[in-house]
Parts: sequence; C-alpha cells; structure tokens
Amino acid sequence: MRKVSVVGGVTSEFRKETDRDITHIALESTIKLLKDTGFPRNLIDAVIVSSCSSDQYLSSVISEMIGIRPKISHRIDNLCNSGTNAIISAYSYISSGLCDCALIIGVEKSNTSGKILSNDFSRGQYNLPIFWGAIFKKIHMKRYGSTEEQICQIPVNNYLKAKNNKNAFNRSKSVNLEQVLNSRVLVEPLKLLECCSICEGSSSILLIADEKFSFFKSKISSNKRNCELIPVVIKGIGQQTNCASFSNAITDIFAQSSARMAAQQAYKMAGISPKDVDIAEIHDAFSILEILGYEDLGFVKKGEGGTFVYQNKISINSRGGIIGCGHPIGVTGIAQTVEIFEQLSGKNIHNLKLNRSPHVGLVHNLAAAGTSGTVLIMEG
Amino acid sequence: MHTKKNNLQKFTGYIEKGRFVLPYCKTCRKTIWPPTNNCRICLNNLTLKNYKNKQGKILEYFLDKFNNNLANNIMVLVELDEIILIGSLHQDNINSRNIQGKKVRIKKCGFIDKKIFYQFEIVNN
Repeated sequence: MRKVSVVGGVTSEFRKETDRDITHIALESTIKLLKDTGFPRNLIDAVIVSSCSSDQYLSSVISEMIGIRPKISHRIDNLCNSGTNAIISAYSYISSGLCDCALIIGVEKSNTSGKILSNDFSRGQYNLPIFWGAIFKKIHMKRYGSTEEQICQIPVNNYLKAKNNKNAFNRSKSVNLEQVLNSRVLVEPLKLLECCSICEGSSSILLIADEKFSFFKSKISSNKRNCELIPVVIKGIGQQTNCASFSNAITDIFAQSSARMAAQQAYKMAGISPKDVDIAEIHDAFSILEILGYEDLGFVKKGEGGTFVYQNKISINSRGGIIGCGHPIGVTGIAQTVEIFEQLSGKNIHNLKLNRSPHVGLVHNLAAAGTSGTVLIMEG
Repeated sequence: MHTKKNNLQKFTGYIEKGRFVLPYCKTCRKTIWPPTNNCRICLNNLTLKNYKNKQGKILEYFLDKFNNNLANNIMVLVELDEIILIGSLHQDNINSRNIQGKKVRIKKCGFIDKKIFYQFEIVNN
C-alpha cells in the first residue's frame, strides 16, 4: 500500500441557513483550497463529495463547475461520519494506486435529510438524535457515576475554544458552567446547551500519494504560485459499522462500541498507543459523546471519562468541537480532519497554548447513536 | 409487477391498524430486528408473530420535555424479547416514579404525523 498524505484543507464559515444553492456552498471552501495551495486541477483524478443532501450526482456537478475531469467521481453518505468515510474511500483509491490525488468536499444545508433517522423503527416517535443523547447521558451517569458538572463542562470548554475560530457557528457565544447546568431540559437529563446546532457549510481537503509529493510540488512551482505544500501523513484508519438500528446499537455502546473497535484498528495500523496522541478532534454532537470518546479512544478506562474533562495533556477539540462549531452533518468529519491537518502542519490557527508542538493527531467521528464509528490517526 | 408485500411492508401495515407484530425465526427461535424477510443469523425466511400481549421490561425512563405535542411525556426504553424499543408510557396506572424494571406491554401503536409510535402500559401483577 502507498502512503497517503493530506496536503491542504479549508473549511468555510458555518452558518445557520442561507438561500444559497448547495453547490455554491461547496465551492466556498473548494475554490479557496485550490487557490491557497495552487494545486493543478488537471492532476486531481478523484473527486468525492460527502453529503446527506438529496441532490443527485453532486460530485460530477461540482467537478464540472471547477473544471476538473476526474477518473472517479461520486458521493458518500453515512450520516454524521460521511466525511471521514469519504476520506477513507479516497485513501483507498490512492493507496491502491488507482489514483494519485483526490479532492474530498463535505457540504451540507441546514435542512438536510440526514438529521432525521427515518429508517429506524426501533426509535418509534423519538426519531431525533436528542433522544438517544439523553439515553446515553442518563445511563452513563447511573452506571459510572459521572456527574452533571463533569458532563456540562464539555460545552463550557468547547464554546470557549470556538471563540478563537472565525468559522465557528457559535464563535460569539460565551457560556459558563452555571448557564449550561441551568439551560432548558429537553429530555431529562439532556439540556439545550449540551446539544450541537445543525447548520450549513463546507470543508474541502486534498489527499495525495506521498511518493508523488515532489512531483506535485514541482508542478505548483512551475505554475509560479507562491504556495506552500506541507504533507501530513494518514498513519492509521479504523472504521467499524455495527448496525443501523438504535435497538442493536444500545447493546454495544457501553461495551464494544463501533468507536472503540475503530480506535483499536487505527492504533494498530499506526503502530501507536493512546498515550502518543497530542491533539484530538472528538465527536461531541452531545456533551456525553465526548466523554464516551475519551473512553473509547483509550485515554481513560471505561467509566472514567467524566474525570478527564479537566485534563490538559491532550489538546481536544481545538476548533471548538461540534458543540462550538455547529454540525453540518456531511461536513463535520472533513472539518475535523482539516483542523488536525492545520495543527500538525504547524499553522496553529487558533493560537493554542500547547505543552508541546503536536506531532500525532486523531479524528473521532460517529454516525447515528454510534451505529458506525471512524478513527483517523495523522502524523505531522 | 411484483405485488407480494415484504415483512417490512407487512410490519408497517399492521402498525397502521394498531397491531404489533415482529418477525420471528423458527430456526433460530429468535425475534429479529429490524423487520425484514430473512433472519440475519441463518438467512432463512421469517414469519410474523403477534406481540400485542408480550411482556417486556422498562430498562430506563426519561421525562420528555421536548415533544409537547404528545399526550404522554414519559419516554421509556423497553426490552421486549431482546429487541429494544423506544416508546411513550401510558401513565394512568403509575403509582411511583420508580418504574425501572417494571413489566410492560404494548398498549397502542400506530402512526402520528407519518411517524411510527409505540405506547406501553405497565402490567400490574
């Protein structure tokens, strides 16, 4: 298998809702990425779009709009981890030799069909994600003794970080622990400020065969563009799909969850352990999911996630997480990966105060109640 | 044109009529979820079994303050023959809030606003 690197990534501003066409939302991050990197469009041989929208053959439409004629062009949809699933597909094409360079674009509108889980009859009338968010929180509190204060600290942390992210949906919002604790209860014990906001936006990322890095760089130079290309290698991939129904997911979520299995696969492939991770993007669509993430990723033992919220050994959700940034469903996994890429390539775009310069980064991305989980490990 | 209904269509058709059936595998002797034609363990054909009076157990319960349009505001997580379902709880016969572990059965099911709903009731005995 060939090594695969990320060489560029751009995320657009996340907004509540506009009347823009989905393709124009996609172009916002894509055109900036192509201009910033100066990457020759004629050398992009795969375009993959990640989205839960019902718009058909989006990848071919967008390719045509930006003057790319790729060998491979298709869309990936797997709810909230569509983005990392698209990256894995691109990785496979490149590592197998089928392609040398892939452009992956995540794009979503606020009214996406991905926010309602209409095919799962085990949820009955409770088919919005907040219901399983509440179920996970209550079970974790009762089974492991995690406290309201610990769980509600997650939004406090992530809103604070989002203030430094000019693209975050909640960049102008400040919340303290008391406000989170006293925010409106939606479904006991889940509160309003513990939930992410669905929004619109796009994020685009470029992957290449690492062995072709010099070749691509030379092509940029010959275009006389003053652009810098810094490779960040994807060292490990874990992807596990356990089921599609909540009925089958709930039996696994506190034991052998899809994310836990994906993390084990990714660590093994990368040849590292959890203690080697410097920076991580954890899927915090609800506050409790970040705590479950600490446990599934092996940062702490099962049940001890609540105590990890006050740590500062690993930089977590530096862009503001999903709670701070908002959740354009098919975009999130790509935006998380772009964040890790930017941190590992030394850009430190949010002026983080890190104990050390990050070397190993991790992306943790889930779909619908953890029915499917993805973990990527990257090295700068 | 193929007109024979599959088990998922039959399942939703029964739900529409207020009847609760689940697919059952006679070979594996198991109830299978989600509703489909073939067992996900042995891939043999499934039959539909009436679960109207089958008793399940409340694994957990939640005060639902989000769905104001629903008559009942207690959401319950119910285990019914190894299938876990989320539904509301009929509250007429509830004496205390400590209902975890209580036996329940389906009182009503159907569609509201094109969404399936299940309503459980506590079995007193």
